[in-house]
Amino acid sequence: MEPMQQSERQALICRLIQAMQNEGSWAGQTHIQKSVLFLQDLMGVPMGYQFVLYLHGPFSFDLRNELAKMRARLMLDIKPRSIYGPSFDLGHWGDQAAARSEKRYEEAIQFVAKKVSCNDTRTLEELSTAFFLKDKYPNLSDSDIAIWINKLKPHITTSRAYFAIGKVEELRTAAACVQITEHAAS
Amino acid sequence: MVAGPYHEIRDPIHGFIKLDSHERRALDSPSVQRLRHIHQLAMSYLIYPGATHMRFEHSLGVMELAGRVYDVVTAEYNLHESIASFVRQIPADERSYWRKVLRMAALCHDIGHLPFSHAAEIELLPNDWNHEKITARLVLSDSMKEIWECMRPPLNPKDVAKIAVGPEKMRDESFSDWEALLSEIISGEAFGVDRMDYLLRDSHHAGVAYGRFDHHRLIETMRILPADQDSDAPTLGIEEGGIHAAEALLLARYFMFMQVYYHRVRIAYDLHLEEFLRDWLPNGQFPTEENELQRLTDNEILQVIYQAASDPSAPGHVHASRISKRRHFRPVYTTNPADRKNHDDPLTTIFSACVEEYGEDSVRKREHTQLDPAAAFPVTDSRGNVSSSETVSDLLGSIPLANVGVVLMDPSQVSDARRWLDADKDDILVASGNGG
Repeated sequence: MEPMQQSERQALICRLIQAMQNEGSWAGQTHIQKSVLFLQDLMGVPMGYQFVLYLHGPFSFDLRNELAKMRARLMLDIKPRSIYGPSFDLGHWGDQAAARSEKRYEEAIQFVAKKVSCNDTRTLEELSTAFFLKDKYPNLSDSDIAIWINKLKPHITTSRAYFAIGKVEELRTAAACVQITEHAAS
Repeated sequence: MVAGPYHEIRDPIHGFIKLDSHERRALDSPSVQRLRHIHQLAMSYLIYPGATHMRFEHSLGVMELAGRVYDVVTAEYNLHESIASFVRQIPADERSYWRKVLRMAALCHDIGHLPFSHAAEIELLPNDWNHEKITARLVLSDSMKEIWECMRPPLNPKDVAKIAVGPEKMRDESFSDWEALLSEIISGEAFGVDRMDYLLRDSHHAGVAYGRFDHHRLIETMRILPADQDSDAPTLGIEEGGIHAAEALLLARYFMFMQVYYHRVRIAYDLHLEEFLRDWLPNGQFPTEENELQRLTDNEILQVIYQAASDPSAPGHVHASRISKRRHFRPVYTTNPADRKNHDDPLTTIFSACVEEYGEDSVRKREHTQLDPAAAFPVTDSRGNVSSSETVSDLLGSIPLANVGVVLMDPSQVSDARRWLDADKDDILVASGNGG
């Protein structure tokens, strides 16, 4: 699939944040980064962001830049919150942008909002790192991936890494039932 | 911490900067010396006459600050209980190795810059190229490899390249938490020393006070902390005594972007420089080959600009004249909060209307947004409790995002265009139907 246009992508991010908030997600920077990773690379929504392994796991600098541009355009706003840092909210033009989002991706958005976005940042880091490495190196065994995760991120024990790899497989199985079609539920 | 014999260089911002003889070899390399001829702020000296400083001294400053921050955050007495094992797992000799890697990465972080720094970089390089990619290639070049190998201990060139360029531009590499943290010391969104140095240095040379903040206090209070209450991922934060210095840094950044980096006349000069280079460079692009790039500095470009300005048959003559004779485009419209709130995309609407009225040759549009606004960072109190910066500062959550959108026009039509927009701007925006 061709990567989508910027306006289409921004509309989708607004819709994703709406869905995350409806599911009770904090919608902070880490939550949005990981949710978009799964929306793009697990659900197959062609947003065109490149992720690299960084602090807190996979991170897209392109997405960070996009969020800043969306703030400048008043599509998004930052809401200061307490101990866990700020969260994103829709800005003055956010609802209008969200309403323009492609309905065929709605089911995928809802899946990610329900299954991924509500996790805390520690779980999100573990899940997304496991998913990212499994996706990038499909020939490596679970054991190799778990050891590698621990080496890159010593605060994630190998047993936590194993657990995350298992959760990722569960997500893959569940995601296979979600289709992206013109007629998907909205 | 510097192995003797060492050398001292006097710096207007940091006093004496010290380096040992091995590090000096890197400093004396052609790639680093070339930075003596690349302006830190491109053509901003045409607006702020004092802003003639070069990337060379900035690179020295970043090296100095990187070493200071490293010493503070890895000092045993500054390790936070929950993160101490993360640092202690690295043996002392390795910590000394990484300190040198960090300093050399900081010294070299800008060596891939094209003439006039960031101006028109993306447009004038082949696809998938940027100055960071050139930096990595130069750090890994045979001539630099020899320097890294002669150091004591020898440095792995790839380590230097990774920390110098960082994960944003070295996307094929996996960064461990330790490597990501070192890279964050140089280019981190909140407390990167690259940013600290350029704010202090640019404000000093431009003669504006906005960029100053208490960097001594800030650095002394920097710590490696867990990212938030939910996560053990290590990141850079501060002890709460440094919160006002951190506020001052982030405010300084906002003001410097709005007053200096996004100055509308600087934007106009960048535009003319880009248009000139597109006409003058072979195939409209900079070379990426090491030796060819090494020969290109601001000096060579300025020379051809002045030649082209006096020769109507030269490629880029019109744009060169605009630069050398100060006949640059002038702003006729700048985005503002009210227009952005009442209209979806006021910049494009006004730009299109100007093009329709005056023709596309006379009108340009540029928009700049600060793409790496600092997110919240962890703060620890004297008992070791960690919380988000927003719980200890009312100010940090309120600092706006720096953003400037501007429509520029040929000076011969500016007066007329301004009168026209004064009278018709609101009608133009309403007629576009994209808001209000």
